[in-house]
Amino acid sequence: MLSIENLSAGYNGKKVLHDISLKVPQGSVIALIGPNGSGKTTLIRAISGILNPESGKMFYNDQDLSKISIQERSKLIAVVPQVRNLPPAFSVYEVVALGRTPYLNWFGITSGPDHEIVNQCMAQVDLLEMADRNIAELSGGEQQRVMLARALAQQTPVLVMDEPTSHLDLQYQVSFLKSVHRLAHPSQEEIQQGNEPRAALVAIHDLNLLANFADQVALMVEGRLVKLGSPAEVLQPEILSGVYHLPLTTLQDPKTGHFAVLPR
Amino acid sequence: MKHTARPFLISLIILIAAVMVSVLVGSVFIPPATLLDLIKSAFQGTHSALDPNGTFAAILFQLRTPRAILLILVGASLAGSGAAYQGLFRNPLADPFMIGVSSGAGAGAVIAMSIQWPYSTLGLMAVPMAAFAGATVSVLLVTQLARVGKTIPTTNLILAGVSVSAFASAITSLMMINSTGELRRAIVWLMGGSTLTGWNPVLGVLPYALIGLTVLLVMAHPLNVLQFGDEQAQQLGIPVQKTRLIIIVAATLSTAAAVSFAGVIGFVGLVIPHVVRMLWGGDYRRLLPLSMICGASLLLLTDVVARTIISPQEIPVGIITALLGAPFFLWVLNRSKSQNYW
Amino acid sequence: MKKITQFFLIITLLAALLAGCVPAATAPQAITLTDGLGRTVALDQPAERIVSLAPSATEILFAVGAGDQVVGRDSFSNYPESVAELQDVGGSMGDYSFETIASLNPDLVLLTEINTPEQVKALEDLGLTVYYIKNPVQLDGLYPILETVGELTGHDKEAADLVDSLTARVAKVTETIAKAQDKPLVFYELDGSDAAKPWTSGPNTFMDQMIQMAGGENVGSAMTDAWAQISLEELLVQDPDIILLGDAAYGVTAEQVATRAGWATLNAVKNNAIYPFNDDLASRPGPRMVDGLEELAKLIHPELYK
Repeated sequence: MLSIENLSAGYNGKKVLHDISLKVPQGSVIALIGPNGSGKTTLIRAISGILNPESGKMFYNDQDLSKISIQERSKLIAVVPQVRNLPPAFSVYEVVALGRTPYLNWFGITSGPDHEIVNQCMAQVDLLEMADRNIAELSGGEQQRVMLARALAQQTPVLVMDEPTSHLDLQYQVSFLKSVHRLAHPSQEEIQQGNEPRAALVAIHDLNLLANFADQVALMVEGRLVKLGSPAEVLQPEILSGVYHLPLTTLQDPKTGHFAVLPR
Repeated sequence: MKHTARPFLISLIILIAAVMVSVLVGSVFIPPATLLDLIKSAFQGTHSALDPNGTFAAILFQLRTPRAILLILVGASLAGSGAAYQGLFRNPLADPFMIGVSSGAGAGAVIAMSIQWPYSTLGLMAVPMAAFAGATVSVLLVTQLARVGKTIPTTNLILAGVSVSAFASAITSLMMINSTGELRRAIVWLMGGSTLTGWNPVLGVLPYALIGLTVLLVMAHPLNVLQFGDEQAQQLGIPVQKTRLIIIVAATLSTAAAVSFAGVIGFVGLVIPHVVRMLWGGDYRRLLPLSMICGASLLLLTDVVARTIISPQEIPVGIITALLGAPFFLWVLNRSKSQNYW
Repeated sequence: MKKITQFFLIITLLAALLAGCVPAATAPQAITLTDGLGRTVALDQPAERIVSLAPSATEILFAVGAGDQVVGRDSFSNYPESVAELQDVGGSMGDYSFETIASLNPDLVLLTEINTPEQVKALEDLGLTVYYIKNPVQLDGLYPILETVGELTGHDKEAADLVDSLTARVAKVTETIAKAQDKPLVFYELDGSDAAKPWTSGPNTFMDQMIQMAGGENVGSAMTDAWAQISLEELLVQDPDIILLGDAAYGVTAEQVATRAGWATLNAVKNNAIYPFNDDLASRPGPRMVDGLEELAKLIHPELYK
C-alpha cells in the first residue's frame, strides 16, 4: 500500500500541495480528479520522486520512500506519463523493454526472462503484433498503450498515471481504463499466473468514465484533498458544482448504476 | 535485434581499409615490396636493405603510422562525443564542442603560443597542455553557470555553453590581434589538423580517449532511456543528474584531448552520428560504438585528401571536413525528411 | 752524372719543402653550433643537401654562395628566381610536407622564427639535423647569422666577404645621410584596405630602424605594436612628407591612394611623394635589407644622391 502522509510540496518556494494524506491500497484503483491547477500532476511528480516534498512523508508499506535510491523507487512505483514528444527511433518492443531498466545493469543487457516479461506486457495491452513497429507510426491510443506496457514491464506494485486517456477515442479510453481496473482486480487465473493486484492512482479529467473503473475517487481543489470516497459519494452535484463553478447534475444509469455528470 | 553483427563488420572493414589507405598513400610513393620489407624488418628489429637511408622507415613509422593512430583516436573521440551529446541534449544539432570545449582550448592554446617556451619536452607540451586546461576550465565554468540547485538542466547548459564559447572566442581573437608572429600559427591551429606528427601526440591523447570513450560506451543504455526526457528517465530508475555529469565529463576528457593535440576539427562529431543513425538506427548501444568506428574512418580518409590533393601543400584537416561535411549534411537532411530516423 | 743526381736531389728537396708549405687538405673540422632555440647542432662536414623552410633562410643561403647545396625550399621562397626550380616542400597552409622533406634526404634543415618548435621536433623525430635561426632584432644582428650559415655550408669566407660588403654599404649610407639638412616624416603603409585605419610598421621593427638610418622619421614610431594601426585622423595630424606603399605588391598604386576619401589633403599626396616599396626588403631578415636601406635613403633624401 502506498501511504502519503501530510505531504506538502511546491516550486520555487510557492506551495502547490497542502498537507495531502492519502492511502492507495493494493487491489484498488483511485481516480484523482480536480480542475486544472489543483495539483494533480504535482502530486504525481512528488510520488514518483521527481519533486522533493517540503514536508510530509511517503511510505510503501513500511518503507520510507525518501530514504531509498532512485533505482529502488522505480521498482516500487511506475508512472504512465502523457504521450508527448516521443523520440521516433524506437520500436514498440524497445520502448516496452525500457521498462526493465531498474533491473538491468549499466549496459542494459536483457536476458531471457526479461524478454518474456516484455512480451507478456505487450500481450496484456494487445500490442504483441506491433512489436517491431516504430512508435512514431502508431496512433495516439496505441502509443498510450505502449506507455502502459512499459510501466507494466517495470513490475511495480504501484502504478501512477497522469491523464492516460486524454488523447484517446472513446473505445480506447474505455478499454484502457478497463485494463487498469483489471490490473487492480486480477482474476484467480491471473493471480495464479503471477499477476499480483496492483495499487493504481489515476489522474483523470473525464468524470463520466470514473464509475467504470475507479474504486475510490480523490477530489483535489487548489492543492488540497477535499473529498475521498466512492464515486457515488464524491460525484455529488453540490460538491462538484462548487468545484467547477458550474451548475451540475448527476444521472445514474438504472441498469448499470454508473454515474454521469452533466451541466444543468 | 536483427543483424546485430553486420553493422559492426561493415564499419570495421571500412576502418581497416581506411587505415591501409592512410598508411600507403602520401606525398612520397613507397613501393609495395619496400613497404612489406620495412614491416618485416621492424618486427625483426633490423634495418631494411631496400631502404638504406632509413627515409622510408622514417616516413612509415615516424609520420604515417602515428598519424593514423592519432586520427583514429581523434575521430572516435569526436564522433563518439557528438553522438553522446546529441543523445544527452536530445538535439540533432549537438556536437562535441557544444559546451565550450573547442573555444576554451583555442583560448588556452593561443595564450600559450604568445609565450616563448624553452625547447624541451615540457616546453613542447606547453601548447597542448594549455589547450587542455582551457577546454576543461571552460566546461567547468559552463556546468557551474548552468547549475540550478542540485540539477543541471540541459537548456541552461546550452545557453551557458554559447556564452562561455563566445567569451573564449573573444579572448582568442584579442590575443591574435595583439600578436604578430604567432598569428599564422594560431590560425592554422584553430583550423585543425596541423600538429599531428610523431608519437608524442598519440601518447598524449591515448589515456584520455580510452577512458572517455569507454565510459561513454557504458552510458549507452542510460542514454537510450534519457531520450524520453529527464522525468521519465528518473521514473525508470536512471539517476539523471549523475548520469548527465558522467557523460559530460567523459565526453569532455576525450574531446579536450583530441582538440588539444589535433586542433579544432569540425563536422565529424556532428555528421557521423546522423549517418550511423540513418543507416543502423538510434539505439545508443550500437550508435555509440559505430559512430566511434566510422568517425575514425572518416577522419583517416579526409586526412588522406588533405595531404595529397595539392601536394606538397598540406591543407589542415578541419578545412576538408568542413568542405565535405556541409554538403554531406544537406544530403543527410534531405533523406531524413522522408524517414522517421531522429 | 753527378750533376744530374744533384739536380734531382735539389728538385726533390724543393718539392718536399713546397709540399710542407702547402697546407695539407686537413680533415674537415666537425661543426658544432648552438641554434636559436638553444639546441646543439652538429655536422661532420658542411651541409651538402639543405632544405630551407623560410624565405629569409633561402635568400641567405644563396647570398653566401650555398645556392647549389639547396635541394628543397618552402612555398614562399621566391628569391632569387632560380629557387622556383627547387623542390617545393609545402608551407602555404602552415604545414610542410614532412614526407617530401624526408624524401629529399637533407643533411640540414633550416628554420626561422616563422616556423614552430613543433615542426623542429617533428623533423628531429625523422632523424634530420635541424638548425633554427632566431631572427635578428637590429640590422646588425643579421651579420652573425650570415656567418653561421656560412659555417654550416662551408662558405665561411664568402660569408665573411658578404658581411664586409654589407657593412661597407651601410656605412656609406650613414655617411651620406649625415649630410642631410632635414628629416622628412615617412609613412610606411603595410595594409591600406581600410583607408580610415591603415596598418603601418611600429617601433623597433626593421622598417622603423631603416627609415631612421635613411635619415627619416617613421610615423609608426609613436605607436606601441610592431604591427600598428593608425587612424586617418591621426595620420592627417602627423601629415607625413612621404608615403611608402609596402603593399604595392598587392596592387596598391599612388593614383589609388590619391583618391582615398580624406587623403587628398595630405602633404605627401599633394606633392605626389607616394612611392611603391618592395616589402620583402624590409620584412625578410636577409642581406636584401641593405638593398632596402639604400633604396629608402634614395627615396627619403633624393637630393643627396643626385
